Amino acid sequence: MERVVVTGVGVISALGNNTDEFRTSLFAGRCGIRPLTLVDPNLFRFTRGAEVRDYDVGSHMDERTADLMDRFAQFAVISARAAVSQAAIEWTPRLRERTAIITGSCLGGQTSQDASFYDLYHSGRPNVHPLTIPRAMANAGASHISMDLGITGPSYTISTACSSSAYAIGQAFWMVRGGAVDAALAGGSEAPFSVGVLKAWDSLRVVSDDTCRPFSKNRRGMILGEGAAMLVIEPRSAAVARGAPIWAEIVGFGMSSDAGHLTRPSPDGAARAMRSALLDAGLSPDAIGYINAHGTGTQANDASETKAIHMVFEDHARRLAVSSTKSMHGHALGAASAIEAAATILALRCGVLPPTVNYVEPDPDCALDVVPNEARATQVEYAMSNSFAFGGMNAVLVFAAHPAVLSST
Amino acid sequence: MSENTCERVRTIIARVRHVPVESVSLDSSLEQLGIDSLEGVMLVFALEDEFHIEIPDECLQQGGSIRELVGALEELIPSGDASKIDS
Repeated sequence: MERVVVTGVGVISALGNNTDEFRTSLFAGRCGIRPLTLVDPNLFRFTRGAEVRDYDVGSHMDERTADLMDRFAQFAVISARAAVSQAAIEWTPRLRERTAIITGSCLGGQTSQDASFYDLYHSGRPNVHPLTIPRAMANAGASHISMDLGITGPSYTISTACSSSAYAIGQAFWMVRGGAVDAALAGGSEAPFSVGVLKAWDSLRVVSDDTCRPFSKNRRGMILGEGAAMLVIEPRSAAVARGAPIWAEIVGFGMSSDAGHLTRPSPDGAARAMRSALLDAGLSPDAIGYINAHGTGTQANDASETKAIHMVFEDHARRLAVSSTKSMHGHALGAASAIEAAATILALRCGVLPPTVNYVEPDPDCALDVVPNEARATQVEYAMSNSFAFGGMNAVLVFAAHPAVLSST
Repeated sequence: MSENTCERVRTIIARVRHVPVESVSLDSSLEQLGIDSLEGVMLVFALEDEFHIEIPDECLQQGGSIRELVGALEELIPSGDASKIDS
């Protein structure tokens, strides 16, 4: 089996419109959660979100191309281009046929659909815009990436709510490792800021009227975010031969289903996904130095995830660093796992653990070292990224620092 | 054929295609203007919206010129409304 590495990381999020800005904000502990601007903030019980700021689609694509896409698909294309550019891939017709595109999205283009249906139901228009379906389909991100970059291999979209893009990256990892494809572009994108979608989240009573304070005793819920992250994934041998930058190695992927409650998290299900990822990586729990937690900031998730981490890591749980970067970039739903995979990869590459910001008060139910409020200069060898979705669909990725990074520290 | 209807159709085609209105000749066919099947349905939607009419599928035969399209549209616009639109 091939060893599999990441050679490009493209990110657009509330922490900046490119990967450099994302890294700088992440390690500075900047919070991207601000008052809502994309929708009227007076309509909901919450007033804040983690929106992509200063977004100028015209600087990325012409008006005609942009018009075909919902915002979520635009984010997918922008982050995919950035990732591919970093990886400096030398495209050949064969490589284009042997490259996969696997994207995750929870909502697809529901923001476009919401606008069209408003016209139909509220404004009395007799018809809806003909681009409603092409903009709204969840696979639009993958489709536009394939057309934009001329990639003709397998291309599909996974929708497992808030773990969608972990599943996408995991599938891509396994396909490259097993030799089914020679490279993959994998990640996720989301743009949930429309009135209908936010009202639906509001009704679930899981969104904070304050900010996102994962693992802090006074946490009041999640904060919705948007954006995208895409990774270029390829065999280590190909990356080394080309002299490509190696950001990190992907070493393990695990999945599980809670088979329990539709929305209430299960420590058992989360623990099984973490154990499965460790088994896939061939690692013992004490090899892991950092976990990028699912850490939504709801009372239920953070306590359940803490319990699951203690079940899997036992005594080592107290030595682990665990942070939730959702405290900075919000919960970007189907893009969340990919943005967090990018944060985990940057932690391994730069030897800095991103913090859990907005942290105020320890919670006995969240007895973990959560890297509170300030980043920490610590080089770890292996890191885990957790994603636990509504519907009880859990996915965990394990990454390793590139040996060159470790030998220089 | 009303000049006003011609101009409005040309403007809508230009908007759907994201091209200058000057580039939309009445003698061109939709095919010659590069309008594919997806842009065709976008054009129908925009024309229905503009003229408050319902356009049957056969109205947008790929071979016909824009001039012919305008003629077909004018038949669909109720006569009383047409004078109102053109006024």
